[in-house]
Amino acid sequence: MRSGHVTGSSIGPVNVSGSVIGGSGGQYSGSILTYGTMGLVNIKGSLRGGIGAFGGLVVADNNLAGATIGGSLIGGSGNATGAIGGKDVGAIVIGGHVKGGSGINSGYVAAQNNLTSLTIGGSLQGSNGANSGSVEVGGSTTGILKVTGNVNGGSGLESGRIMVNEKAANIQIGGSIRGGTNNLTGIVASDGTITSITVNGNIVGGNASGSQDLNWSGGIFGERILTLVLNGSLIAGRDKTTGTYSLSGVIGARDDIVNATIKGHLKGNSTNSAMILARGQVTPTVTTDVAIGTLTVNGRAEFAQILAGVFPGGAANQNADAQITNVTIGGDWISSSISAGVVAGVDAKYGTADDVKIAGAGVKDVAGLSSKITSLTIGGQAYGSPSVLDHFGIVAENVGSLKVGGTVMTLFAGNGNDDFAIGLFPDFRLNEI
Amino acid sequence: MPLSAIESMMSQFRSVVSRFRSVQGSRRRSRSLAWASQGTETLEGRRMPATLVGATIVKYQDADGDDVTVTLSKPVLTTANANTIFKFNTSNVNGTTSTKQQLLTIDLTSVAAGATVTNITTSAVRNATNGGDGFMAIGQINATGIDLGTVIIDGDLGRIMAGDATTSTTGLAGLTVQSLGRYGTFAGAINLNTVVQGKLGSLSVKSDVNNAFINVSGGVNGQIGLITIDGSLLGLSSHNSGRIAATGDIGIVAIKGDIEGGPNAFTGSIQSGGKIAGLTVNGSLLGAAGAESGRVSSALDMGVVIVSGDVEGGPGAKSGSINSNGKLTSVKIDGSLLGNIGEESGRVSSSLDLGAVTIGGDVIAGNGGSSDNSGAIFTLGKLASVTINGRIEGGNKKLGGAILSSLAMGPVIVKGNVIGGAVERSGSIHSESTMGTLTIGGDLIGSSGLLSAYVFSKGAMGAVSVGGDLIGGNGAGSGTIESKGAMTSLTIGGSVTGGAATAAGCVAAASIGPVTVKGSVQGGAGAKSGAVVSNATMGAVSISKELPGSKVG
Repeated sequence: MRSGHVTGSSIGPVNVSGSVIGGSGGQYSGSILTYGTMGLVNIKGSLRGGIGAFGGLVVADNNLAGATIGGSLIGGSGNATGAIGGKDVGAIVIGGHVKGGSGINSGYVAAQNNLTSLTIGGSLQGSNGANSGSVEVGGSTTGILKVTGNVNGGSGLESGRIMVNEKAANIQIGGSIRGGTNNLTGIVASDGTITSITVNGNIVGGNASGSQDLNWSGGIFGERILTLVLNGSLIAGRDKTTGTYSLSGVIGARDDIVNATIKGHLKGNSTNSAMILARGQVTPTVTTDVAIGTLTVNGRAEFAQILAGVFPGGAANQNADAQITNVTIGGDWISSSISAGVVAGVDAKYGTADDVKIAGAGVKDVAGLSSKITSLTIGGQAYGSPSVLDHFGIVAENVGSLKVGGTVMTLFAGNGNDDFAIGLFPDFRLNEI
Repeated sequence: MPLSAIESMMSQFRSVVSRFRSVQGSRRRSRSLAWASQGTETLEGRRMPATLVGATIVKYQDADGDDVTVTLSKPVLTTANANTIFKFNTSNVNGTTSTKQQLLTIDLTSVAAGATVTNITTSAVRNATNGGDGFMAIGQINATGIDLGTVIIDGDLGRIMAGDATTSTTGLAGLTVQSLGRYGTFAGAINLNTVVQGKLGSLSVKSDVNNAFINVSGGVNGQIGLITIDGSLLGLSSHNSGRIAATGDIGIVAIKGDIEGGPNAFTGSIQSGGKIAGLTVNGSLLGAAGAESGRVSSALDMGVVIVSGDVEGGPGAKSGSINSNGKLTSVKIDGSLLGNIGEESGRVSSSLDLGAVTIGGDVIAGNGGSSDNSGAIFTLGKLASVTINGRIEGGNKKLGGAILSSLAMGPVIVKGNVIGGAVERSGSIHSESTMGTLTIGGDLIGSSGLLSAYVFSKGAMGAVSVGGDLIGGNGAGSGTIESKGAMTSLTIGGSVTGGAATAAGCVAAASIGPVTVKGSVQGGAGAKSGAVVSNATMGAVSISKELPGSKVG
């Protein structure tokens, strides 16, 4: 038990020339622990968990001034192995990867309150342990939270995940965000506002087959997302399971997305849509309740859904007045839908006659406010699909303007008075409800 | 115990997660294909179709209401042949434009001689009453045996056949379309195979090439000039889908989106039987399960290649790759070079000299399957220089994550770590001749593979600098730098640490200039591990820390 460990009521600066490695036996082997505060920690090598729980661990019960790990943070098979954390945590720099193991919370960075900043030189890699290869912040991040490589979900629940409970100032992902094969994997989420997030690669939903359940894999979620830049594409996962499957390849805000730029594509598939979701404002004005402000996609939208007024979580996250201000798609619009304040009706298809305004107990629906898509510009062609079994739409109480391939579609002013098909196939319609 | 902190955190996050959990999914239904029959049935019984305006113009209303004008540059149309040349899904060319029609085919073979070098232009304008989207679609243009001028389609084209048997004359002067193959065969094409005999002057696609195959033949005359695709080159369907192939040279290729392969061979690919002047892909080059999917290759030289995203291999052999069987001027990949389980997947290679190679991200081998040579840079000629802003990581198959040149290799910069893999020469840098300066910003980390994370120069090697540690692994010669010639100098920012196998974690050269090790030089369990060895002279040696159980000299 507790072999090769350092403990104290408080600990000053810690310098380790080599690595801190958890052992194969008892708990807390290869660990640095304190009930109080801990100074700056500098580990030249790696922090690596082992078989015993809480091995390869650096934890302060109070504040941790900060840490630099030259190598990687690698979880083991024991729970909470290869982990570092404290109450308020200063700047953490990890030169290599953060890799989860089979233990719960293995390969784990945590701040009970706030985290100043985090730099991971490699990737954040979930594994088969629950919450393995993950970063969790109970408060806010004030500086940059950077993963140079990818954020990859694993097979463990909530693995390969960044979760900030309050505000996240600046998140930078150098590679891609990829969903794993379990729920809540490969996601970057904040229960508060994400001021700025940049992903240089793609956001890729996880795939499921057999009878596996897979929900919330591969995505970015926030209460608010102020600025998002995705240099790659938003790519939906594939639903080949008889189990529940949803939200795999998603950008979503429980309130609003102010400005999002996607330099690649919205790429869904015939089994699952690439989705952008936002509910709307907490406090709308007399005339506006913007859920999605400006969305620019340089490439195409294929099997995509851009939905304002809806976010998972029941009626409280539904909004009949939701509005979309300005959406520009540079390429083609293929088998995709955009809606504001609308549900697809009994047939679950957008652009059909049974599309209806969101309603019900607890749904936000302010008198005098209307759902609206102010402007949609599609640079290329727009159409549905050859299938008679599906349908796609541009649906809101009011659509302000629509341009397809440079052609302006003349629309009537006011609500509920435009309804026409677009494109070669008859299953894509602009439909004002 | 400090465990309380973790337990408290976990409890908090479970409550956060629970708020997200109530999931609303959208599940899509199975699909069937019934557009063509639906459209025909709707329109049957009406007799108010397209109009022959003159010897060069036909007008009609397309399937979604646009007013479409088709203009030929030569006066070949008559009332007698109009319905042979223009075939619609319903009715024919006989007077009015009141009926919605889908133009299936323009067939010029019946007027072959008169149609030579004809230009074909279509335009579509949304009709205020009937609707439309400002685009038209046409299934196919059949000008087999006829050299055509420029063809401009204001919408989607399924395929075109053009060019006479004299391949020294241009088969098709230029093809400009909004998209190629976007509607599959639903607009009337029998398949999506474009065939041009003789040169295709230029190809301009304003959005995507979707599963179409552009095949230009005629030996050295089977050339393609400038290719611009403002969307992506997508090969997500059958064999050859999303493929551009020419038996001769291909000019500059500029693709604003991705090149994306699919499940079958040669999907999402560009092949030249001659040279390729240059390639710019603003997105990524993505291989898939098909062999040679997501691949750009030339039989002769290839010019400057720039890929703004990743070059990523797939399960298919040679998928996600760039290959010149001649010289390759330079390659710049802003993202990463990523191998997969396909052999030679995620690879840059040339048979003759390879210019400067710059990778913005990582070079990472695939793992498992047949991933030998995946995530690799390879040339049988000289390699001017290599700059990798990220790391090199070998896999568990031979030569994964490797950089090799048969002739001299110029300066090599790897800003991150060089990490070996589980098999021979994984994560290695190898020159069969001389090597310029070597700069590794991070660590050189050997693994279990023989000569993994191994840097080798058969001739002289320039100044060597490793910012971090040099660490031997369990494989013999792993985590090692070896020059059969002189090494200008050696600087190790961290330590030299021997591994468990022979010569694991060492530096060896015929002679070495000044040696600076800012950490320790420490032997490992393997013979000659944790060593700095010169077979002749060695310059001044500075080791800042210990020298336990190790050999220097």
